Amino acid sequence: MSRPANERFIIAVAASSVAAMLMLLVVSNTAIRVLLALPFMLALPGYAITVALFPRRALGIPERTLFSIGLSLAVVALGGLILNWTPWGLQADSWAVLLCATTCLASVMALARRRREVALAAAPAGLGLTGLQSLLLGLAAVVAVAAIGLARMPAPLQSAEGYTLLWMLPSADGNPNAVRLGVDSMELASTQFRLEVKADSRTLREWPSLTLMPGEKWERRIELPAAEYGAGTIDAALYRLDDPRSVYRQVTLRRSESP
Amino acid sequence: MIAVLDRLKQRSALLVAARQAVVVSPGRQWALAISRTLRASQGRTWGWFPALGLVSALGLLLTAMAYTGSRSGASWAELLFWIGLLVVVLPIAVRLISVEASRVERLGLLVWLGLALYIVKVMHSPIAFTFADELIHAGSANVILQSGHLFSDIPMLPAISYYPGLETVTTAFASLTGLTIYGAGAIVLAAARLVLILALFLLYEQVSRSARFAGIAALLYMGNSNFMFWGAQFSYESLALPLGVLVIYAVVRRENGTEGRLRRALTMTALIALSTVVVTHHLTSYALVIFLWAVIAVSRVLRVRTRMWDVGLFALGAVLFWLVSIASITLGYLSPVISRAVTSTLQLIAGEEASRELFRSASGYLAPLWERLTGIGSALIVALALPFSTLQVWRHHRSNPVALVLTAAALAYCGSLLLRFNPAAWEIGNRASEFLFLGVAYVAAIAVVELWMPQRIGWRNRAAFAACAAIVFMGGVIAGWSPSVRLPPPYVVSSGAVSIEPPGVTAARWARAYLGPENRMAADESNARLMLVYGQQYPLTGKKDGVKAMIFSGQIGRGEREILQVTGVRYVILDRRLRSWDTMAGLYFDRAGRDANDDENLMDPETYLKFDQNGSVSRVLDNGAITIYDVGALNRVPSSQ
Repeated sequence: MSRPANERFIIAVAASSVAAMLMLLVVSNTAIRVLLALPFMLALPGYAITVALFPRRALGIPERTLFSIGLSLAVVALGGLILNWTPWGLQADSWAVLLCATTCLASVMALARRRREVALAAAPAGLGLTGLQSLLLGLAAVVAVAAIGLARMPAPLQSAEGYTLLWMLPSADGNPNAVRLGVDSMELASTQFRLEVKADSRTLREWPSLTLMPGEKWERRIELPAAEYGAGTIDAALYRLDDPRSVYRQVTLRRSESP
Repeated sequence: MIAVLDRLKQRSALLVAARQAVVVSPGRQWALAISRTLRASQGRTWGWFPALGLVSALGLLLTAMAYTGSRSGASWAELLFWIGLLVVVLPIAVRLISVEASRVERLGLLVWLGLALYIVKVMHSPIAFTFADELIHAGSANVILQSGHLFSDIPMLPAISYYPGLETVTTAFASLTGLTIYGAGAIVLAAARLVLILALFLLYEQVSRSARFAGIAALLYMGNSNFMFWGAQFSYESLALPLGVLVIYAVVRRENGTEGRLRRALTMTALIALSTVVVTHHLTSYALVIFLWAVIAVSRVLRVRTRMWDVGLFALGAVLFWLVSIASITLGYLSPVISRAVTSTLQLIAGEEASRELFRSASGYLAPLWERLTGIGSALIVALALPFSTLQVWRHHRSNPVALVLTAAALAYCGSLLLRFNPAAWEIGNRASEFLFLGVAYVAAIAVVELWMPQRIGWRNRAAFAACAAIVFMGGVIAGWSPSVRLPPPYVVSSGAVSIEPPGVTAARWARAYLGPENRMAADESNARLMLVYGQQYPLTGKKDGVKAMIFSGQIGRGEREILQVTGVRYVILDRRLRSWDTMAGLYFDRAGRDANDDENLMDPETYLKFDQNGSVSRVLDNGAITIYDVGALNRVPSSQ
């Protein structure tokens, strides 16, 4: 004997949840994972609970949509509290298992309750959109997406001022006579710099012409003879070659700062 | 016979069309063609929704152009922004007022409008979160994502880690999909917005038994000052409020008489959603408890039988349990705000304190005259509707406790407007509007549907309603968001294939990469937030522990050293732009030639160079605006790396 349409749909919901969980654990493509996670997390758990809780035909499509999404959000928010007290915590795997288990459990409850009811569910009605209406709505969606795309475009160059980072830190390997020095250009065009490292006004190293493109980084580890570094203070000054007399950026490292 | 008549009709229509085509101008022909297409697009149920959805989407496109223009510094951007918003809202508002639209059409229009206004917010910050509270919540979500556990210590706003509902849902989506917190948060908030619109419509429909009334009330709710920006930001109330309205809908529907199993199902739904509200946002859960108990109290007075006791008791118990056993820190967070507001109100009444000037921002910016007039006009329209609607509720709906409580909320809203004159309480008044406007929308819809336009309406009344809706909506936007960032300044700048982020973001990413995470840092309000989100540091800011006083001091004396020692700060971030203390505007790029090098916008050199004079402090990073000092030698705090 074949199952009623509504029972088949509930089974399909549970099966979809299991399939989505397995795919989420395997697939690495973000776009596909988003498409899978949208119903898996934001619709199926709430839908299954709604079907399990409410008698047939008690809710219209708007109410069912409201409770499906609202309860899905609630299941995740409250489920997080449960996962927090488990050894696994809030991770992709534990979320996938929890949400799938919730959907399947609620689906089983829905099936058990529905079998006690006599009447068959009416087949879900279509959206009732005409071809032209679908076209207009599709166009509206395209225009809305285009608007978001337009808003995401970066601002043009002339709207802001570029900048450059100069930084200096003790060497990561703990060598007291070595430092790390870096320049990150966030200028809006290719820029030429001069970089000078001094100890007690005595130049230790100099890079007379550093050309960096926008977004380009320059980094060096510099070994300093102990005698030169004895003063304990190293200064690095960065100049732009289009304004060679003004210090553009300046950093200082004092040896005594290490705790 | 009918077929022949139909054919004759078609032929005569074609003849008329042909005659028109001969005599009318090409422009008129276009208008007629569009009109015919739109009329043909009306199906039996969806009506004008698809066509108006397209018009509304074109409004979004105009708004996007306005934002793009604003980032480039175009002077026309603001005008285009308002035109775009009105194109999004007004056609739908005019359709919702009509009596012909079906329930499905109204719902479609409202859902579209609610999501379109959410997109307006998304387009404002389309790359990353940029609102002050958003950054703290995003920082909290980052911590959960990395640690896999809740209730971590979040600096700047410790209470939020004890209300982790939004962050939990967002990190769940992020960890399942690999999206960033921004991407996952934007999707979760869209789902929450959908819940809010559906719940509002169904709630008002339950109370009024009219889809037209529900559509108009839900539309009017969107005129509240927190709907477009505040209520759509990545912050806990953006999830809690929709679920709170869902709870109210479920209990109101249950009150309206339902059979056993449906009643139990609605109770379960309300309890699940209510529990989520309790763990998501303190104020929304308190507002929900107040609403439920107000309905119970009014029912007692009216001697109307109510079934809200169970949900009311559960709500009260859950809120108290969470507050006492988990989130007791909330008391310390909320009580100073409330006590300051009460003290300030008393001082204001006693004439010991000056009132706050309306429409002037903290930075001293005064809104232009037309904005002030629109804002006042918006409040006046609500105030004008209130006495008539209250009388109408009393005459015709006073046996309905929910209607009475909603009317009381509307009256309370008018009272809350007075709080806007109080410098210490205006924010409470502003925050309360998203709750109290549930009542305002209800009474305003009564004024429209029962008193003004109960029957079929002509174009004059439609135009008058459109004008009122425009003023209420625009007034809400004006009152709700700082004018300095209503249109976005540049956030990411393009240089060829490279996108360049603001100096604060770059400095924070550098700190994460080179200083390691979780260093204690003293910073201004904006950089502290960026250090939390992008630097994964432990930033301290504001007046708490004397951080602001230390940063603005002209020297490093004994007091400053003490502050550094007490706070255990290892790094101090000095941003010489005073704008960095403005949590709304401080995150963005300096506009070329406007903000950057103006002395009045910069810190006193003696202040921002004070650490250079100290022989034990290293200046480890300089990017022009921002300098990072290593002060570990002053207080012997080790770096996290």
